[in-house]
Amino acid sequence: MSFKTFLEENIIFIIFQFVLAVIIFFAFFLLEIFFVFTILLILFLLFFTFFYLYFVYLGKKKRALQIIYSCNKLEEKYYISEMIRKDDTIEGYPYYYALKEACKAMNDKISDIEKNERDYEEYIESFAHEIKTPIAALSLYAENKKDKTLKYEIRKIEEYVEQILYYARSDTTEKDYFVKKIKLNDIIHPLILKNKDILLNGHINMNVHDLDVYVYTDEKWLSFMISQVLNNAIKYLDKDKKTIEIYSKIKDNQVVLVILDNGWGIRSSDLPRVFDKGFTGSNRKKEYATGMGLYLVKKLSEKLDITVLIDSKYQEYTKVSFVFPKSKMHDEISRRV
Amino acid sequence: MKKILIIEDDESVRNELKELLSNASYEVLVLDNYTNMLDDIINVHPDLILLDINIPYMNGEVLLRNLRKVSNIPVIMVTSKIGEIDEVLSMSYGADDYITKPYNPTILLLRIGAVLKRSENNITDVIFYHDLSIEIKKGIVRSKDEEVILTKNEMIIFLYLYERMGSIVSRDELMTELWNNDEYINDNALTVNISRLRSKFRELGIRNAILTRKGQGYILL
Repeated sequence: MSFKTFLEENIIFIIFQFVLAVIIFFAFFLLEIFFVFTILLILFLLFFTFFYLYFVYLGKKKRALQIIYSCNKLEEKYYISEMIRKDDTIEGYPYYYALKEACKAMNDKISDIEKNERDYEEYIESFAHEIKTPIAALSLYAENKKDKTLKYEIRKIEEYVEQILYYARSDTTEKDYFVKKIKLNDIIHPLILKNKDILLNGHINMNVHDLDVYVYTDEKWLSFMISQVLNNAIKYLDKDKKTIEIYSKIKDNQVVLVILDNGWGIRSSDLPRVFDKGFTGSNRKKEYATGMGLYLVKKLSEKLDITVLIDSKYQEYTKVSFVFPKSKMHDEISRRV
Repeated sequence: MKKILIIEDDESVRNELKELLSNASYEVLVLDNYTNMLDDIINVHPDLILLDINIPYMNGEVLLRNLRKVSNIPVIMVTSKIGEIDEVLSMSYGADDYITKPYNPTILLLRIGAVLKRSENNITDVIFYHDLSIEIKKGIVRSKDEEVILTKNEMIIFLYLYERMGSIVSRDELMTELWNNDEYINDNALTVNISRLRSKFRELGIRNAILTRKGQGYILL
């Protein structure tokens, strides 16, 4: 877009001007017109040509920069066709037309995809709700028949359904976000009870303490996130004396919830990737691993402003910490509520 | 026996719920005619209602609102939605508790127990067992000339057996009760607690307080 390229583009015009100057020179020479006058005229002609080209160049450059600027400014670039003025020039119009059509086609496509995605999400959501009734019927049946295997399998189905529901929602969760004051124990306690059979049958010692602490967050989401971590902890316990410790502490004015197990642990080379979607570890039992649990935990926690940290020593322990946001802002909310 | 009314339109869930609650020694009533619910409820006068939010003809929340105008019967709302807003709405319409499907049967029973207990509101401090007096809050068991102290776990176990005196209580029930009180103990610890409880009562002169029924559980006499 430099002046040099612009001159190159107009090279024929420039050559023509020079040829014209030469013709004038010879014609005036033959006509015996005053020599100085001829020279002045030719200089004027070349001068005029140069300035004409220069001003045209400045005008075009200004427009070009405007378009680039408004494009850069746009968050969603495909709206650019709405931002630029119509260009009727012979070289500008085809581009203008093509851009207009391309953007329109793209917008149509995007709204199609968005609609599909919404439909899909709604379907998943209604599926998850519908399937809960038969699951409830089955789990009651299993309880009545005292069928431990069935109970255990139903728990797994339940977890997968929860996962898919939160996955479908994880992009649009803003809408059902409800922050309130909750005692940590009121979230942990039902989760432990839910897993009572698995914990007892697996001879897992629960060491639960210091949970009479309040946090401000969304109860359902936090419960889902903790249950993902707890399920992992249960799944990968391998020692003779299996222990899960759940407690909270205050660090730098922040409440930290810790879930510590003495299970399989995570290799240090795997640690940075545990939150990646679909990551199931390089040598874990792949059984039942979807690689979605911790990914969802990370994703939801970011929206709730909770920091999730994982620390582990391979074959010794895994320690997951939920760091809740500082309470300053929350105090305000609670005052309003 | 406490009467529980189930309002739930899914037949399988309804039947299983009925069995579950009957096993937990509640009297269970089922409402399967949805046209005149409010009158039916008043007529049977249950101690507690399990109300599904998605019932035919009338939304569960609307029914609850109408019910609250005429009665204070405890209500636990059941739903498969998991939005907080539903919960808040239900509670503001006067539900006593709220549980989402698929509910864990253990938790459901605990919630029902808790709501019933709250509505009864008769927490006594001292109970009597044979010629012993038991101060629940202090954890002290007294005979005429002696006293022993029960630990929290022992007290939980004793009270649970005491409320069901004369009938068999399974280890699983005891375990659930302990876990529900934030005492996440294991199988061995339960056995140890029971035998300690026995020896404490023996000290106070009651030889066969707790009997073992093999494969079924314990019974307090």
